[in-house]
Amino acid sequence: MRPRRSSYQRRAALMRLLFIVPVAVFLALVFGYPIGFNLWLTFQSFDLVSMISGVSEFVGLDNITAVLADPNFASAARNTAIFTVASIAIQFVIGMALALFFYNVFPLSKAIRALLVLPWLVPSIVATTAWRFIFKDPSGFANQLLGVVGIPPVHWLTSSDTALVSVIIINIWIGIAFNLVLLHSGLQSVPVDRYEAAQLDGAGYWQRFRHVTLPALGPVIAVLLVLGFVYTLKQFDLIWTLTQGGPGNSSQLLSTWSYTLSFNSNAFGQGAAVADFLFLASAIIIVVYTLVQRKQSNA
Amino acid sequence: MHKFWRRSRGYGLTLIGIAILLVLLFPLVWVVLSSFQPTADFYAPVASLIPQTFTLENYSSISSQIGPLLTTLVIAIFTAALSLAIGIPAAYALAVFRWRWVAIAMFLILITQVVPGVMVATPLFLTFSRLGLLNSIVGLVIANSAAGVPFTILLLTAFMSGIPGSLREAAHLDGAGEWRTLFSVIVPTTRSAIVAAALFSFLFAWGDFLWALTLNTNGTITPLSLSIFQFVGNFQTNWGGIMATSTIALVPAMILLVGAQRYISVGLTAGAIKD
Repeated sequence: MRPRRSSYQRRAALMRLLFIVPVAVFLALVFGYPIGFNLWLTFQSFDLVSMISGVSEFVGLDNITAVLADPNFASAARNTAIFTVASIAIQFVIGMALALFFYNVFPLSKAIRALLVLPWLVPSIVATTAWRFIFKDPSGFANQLLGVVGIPPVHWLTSSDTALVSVIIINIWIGIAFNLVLLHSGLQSVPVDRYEAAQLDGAGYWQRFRHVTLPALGPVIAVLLVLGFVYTLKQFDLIWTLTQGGPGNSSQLLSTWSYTLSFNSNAFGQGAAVADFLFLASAIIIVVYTLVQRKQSNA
Repeated sequence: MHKFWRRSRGYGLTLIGIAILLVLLFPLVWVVLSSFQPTADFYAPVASLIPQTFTLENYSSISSQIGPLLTTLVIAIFTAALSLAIGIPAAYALAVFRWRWVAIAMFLILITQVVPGVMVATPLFLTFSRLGLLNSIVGLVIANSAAGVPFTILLLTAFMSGIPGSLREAAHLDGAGEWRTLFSVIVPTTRSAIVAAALFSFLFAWGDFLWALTLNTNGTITPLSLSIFQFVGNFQTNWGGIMATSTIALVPAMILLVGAQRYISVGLTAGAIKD
């Protein structure tokens, strides 16, 4: 049994709740309610008329089946998978290479490393504006560079063959900084004596990397991949400002398709259904990660 | 001799580092450089890396961007303020009050980081249209704080849990209540993390595109991102003006890099804080 509290204690406990009332209200308004609303929309026939009248009908799984039957679903899902896996894999490899490079301390190393974070901090519209020019067809820098090695100009953003690759390149460029920063701070916590021991055992650079660095970075890499997955899945600005999913849905992701369904086609229920899939995928990853982590820290 | 080699190896690495930097930052460097070249040069058959003619005319051609610039500045400042106003007390409570459900609350806050913007976009749009918050600064501040508030809490909770309990107890013994303890003891000791949280919240709002696109329907309010987007989309493209506006849009990130350097890695990893 809990001891009885005096009225003073009870008041103090209530006063403490005041610290979190604002945040609870705020998060309920901008996350809790919208997520619930979105779930509700998934089962409603909500269109432009409903927007004004506020009246919509329960349609069961109609929105979900409509979305799944739409040929755009398969291509958007496939594009999202390619976009996510390619972005994460390549930005991880580049981030790791840079983290290892900046593990060396040399004049200006800190300042240079700091500046490398810039692509991650700038407004996405500025990044895409810059890249729009680099990918300009046919005279942009990307094509000039290809010209040097004798490859004819590529249509980059305006061809359905290369639009997805182009936005992946830009997304990788944005994500390198995140990988670099996390891996670099992870490297700092690898005990130096382990490297020395491995070196005494005659391990070369690659062997030390494989058997000392990588295992020690395990937890950091796990966080990085989970967050990378979640952030990449959410990516919207990049595609919307550059290709709006085109040409011909060739760079359509689930995120941009959801937005198109809601705001261009006024099929709010179907847009909501697609958004649910995205959220579900992220939530599953986070929950699995949390469970695995808890299990490991208990073991 | 040994020392000489070691030092020259160091400078060699510096050169490689600078080369990496130039390659990776090239798109941004080029935005800045090209903002000083005449618009006609953007249509040259072969774009040049370095402007051939230097001009400031692009910057005088963008008076139409002053409005969006000020709008975004106001939104970003209020977003930072709201994020701190809500986030600081919450972080304090979650860090020091030993509530049983703190772990669950932190998990829910972490989950907010994975919610796709497009999922919240429709409900928020429909709700805001009913509440009359579309096409308003207030609506945009609220929407943008959806990124700033959880970020502030994740960052500050980590810092505030690190403060020795004795500091808080001493304040209590002096007769200070929780609010006074927070503002006279805890806030000053975590001042730099608070500045970092404010700067990042500011930056989220400054760079926002999704809310600017979704929550403005009639053109009364045009944040900078949307303004550049429309600028780019126009047929008669004033590339010089776009680059000049983009250069101005880069300024806050650069200030953050210089002014709050040591908090950037803290800020970047705040989403990764688990306990």
